[in-house]
Amino acid sequence: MMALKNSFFSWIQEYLANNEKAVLFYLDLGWPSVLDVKRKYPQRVINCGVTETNTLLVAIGLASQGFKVFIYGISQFTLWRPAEIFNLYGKNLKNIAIIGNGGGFGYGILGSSHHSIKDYGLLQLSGISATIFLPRSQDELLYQLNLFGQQNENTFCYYRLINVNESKVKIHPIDSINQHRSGNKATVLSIGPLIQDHFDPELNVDWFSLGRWPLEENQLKPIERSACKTGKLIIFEEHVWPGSICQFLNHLWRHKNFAIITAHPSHYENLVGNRSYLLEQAGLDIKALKNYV
Amino acid sequence: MEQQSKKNVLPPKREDLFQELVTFHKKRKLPHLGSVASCFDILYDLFFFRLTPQDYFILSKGHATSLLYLLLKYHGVISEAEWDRACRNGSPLAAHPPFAEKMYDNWMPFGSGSLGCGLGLAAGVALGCLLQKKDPPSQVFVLVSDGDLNAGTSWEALHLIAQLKLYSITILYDSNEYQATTHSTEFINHSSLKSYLSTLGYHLWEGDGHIPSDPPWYQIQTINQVTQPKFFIFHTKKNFRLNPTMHPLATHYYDGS
Repeated sequence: MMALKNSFFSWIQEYLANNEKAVLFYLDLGWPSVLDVKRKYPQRVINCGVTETNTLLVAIGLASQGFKVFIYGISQFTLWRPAEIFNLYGKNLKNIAIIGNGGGFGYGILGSSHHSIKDYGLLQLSGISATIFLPRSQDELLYQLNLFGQQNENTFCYYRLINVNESKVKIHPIDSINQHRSGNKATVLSIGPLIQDHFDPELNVDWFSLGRWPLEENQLKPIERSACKTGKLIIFEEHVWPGSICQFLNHLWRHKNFAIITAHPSHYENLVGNRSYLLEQAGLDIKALKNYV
Repeated sequence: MEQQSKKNVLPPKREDLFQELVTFHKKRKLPHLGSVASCFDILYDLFFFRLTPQDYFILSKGHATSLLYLLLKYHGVISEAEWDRACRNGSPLAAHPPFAEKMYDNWMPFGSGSLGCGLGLAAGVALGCLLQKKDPPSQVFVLVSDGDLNAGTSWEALHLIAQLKLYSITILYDSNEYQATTHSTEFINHSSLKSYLSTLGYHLWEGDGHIPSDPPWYQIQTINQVTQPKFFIFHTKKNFRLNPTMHPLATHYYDGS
């Protein structure tokens, strides 16, 4: 299992070395890697403690001075506490990136306080111009971080980090959407790092996965074409329905001549268990997929 | 950020300026005149005698926006026409500072209206100035209210400002002691506020917010020599220059008519 946070800390260390106008705020999280980065750049790596709301305000102030600001914290806390700030200051969020560790059921057994299954839905609801990254591999995360790091003026970016296994399928980060299998019984779209470890090659389906949102409508065309061919689109998403990508696609393709089946967790998953268990309970595992097909 | 040029202006008479504000509120039936009255002298002194073009001012207590617009008009940051249209249908200048994609001006850099946001924003600006080693240094002034200091975010920011040694920040606390429905001492005890801020490392001053040229303004003149974040408590009255028989609580939604 690869902890994507370690890839982030290696990347940010190098980025801070080459970019004086970059600052990392961390919300009392990231031991021990963050401490190495802090030792090197004590002025620009700042522990803001458990102050998620204020930290976003400070980031807005700092970004107004031409800095790129990274906020590293637990996904659920880092987004929901400052929900009002997203709502009010949406126009001022440029050049700010939130690195949310433990997206989806990423914190598993730590419980529902830590689960982040309404994360990018909140951003969509706030109406802010945000790029949501759902890295499916280490390489993809690094590619996505460079997208933010190399551009002069960015929209607000949210990185949803979930620990991933060394992928058995090839992810091409540049594409954001990849097709991994071909078949004709159904079209499957998995959002972020879902089912890729357990995907059954015997399933006779077109399988796509997606690592970034939003996308242009023409980038979604291959999925639409495939669904028209198979007559059935099954979307797997580790996010509640409101504000989800499957909600958007369901609306976009509501008049098309294919059925859309969506698998997603419900609002309050109070069950206790690790991520695999919770995904299974939410119907987001390979067994459920076989049933849908 | 594009910094608008500021006119060097002779300060108008306080009473004249205040009357202009009362008329502005009356015409629009705009509430919060009491919030404006209490901080009038603080901002009058700040904008006519202390602020420099490279400084920042953040109005955390967004209720006093009409006063900010008026001061910006006198400095040529907003036009007469914008002032006339402000707080009317179709104007981008609402009754709280506007949320704009680009900084409107460094004397009105951010929108506000939800209390408790100004200190955090100020901390970010001051940190940016510090890391850039700006020369001449920019000072960051923030006006906060009693209600502002109810908010948890303000306390998160107060801790961070002290922790990061953001000495360029001066917090101007308009302590008029009345919130929308209650006396503020229900929430803020000044003796513990002062001792707590002092423990955190703030340079404190406390005095009358309606007496011009009182000590804090001298301190602001020599601000660079104070190597502490500054917190000035101004005791003010919500009905100052308004009807003195009017209860301060009644002035909160008072529109001057």
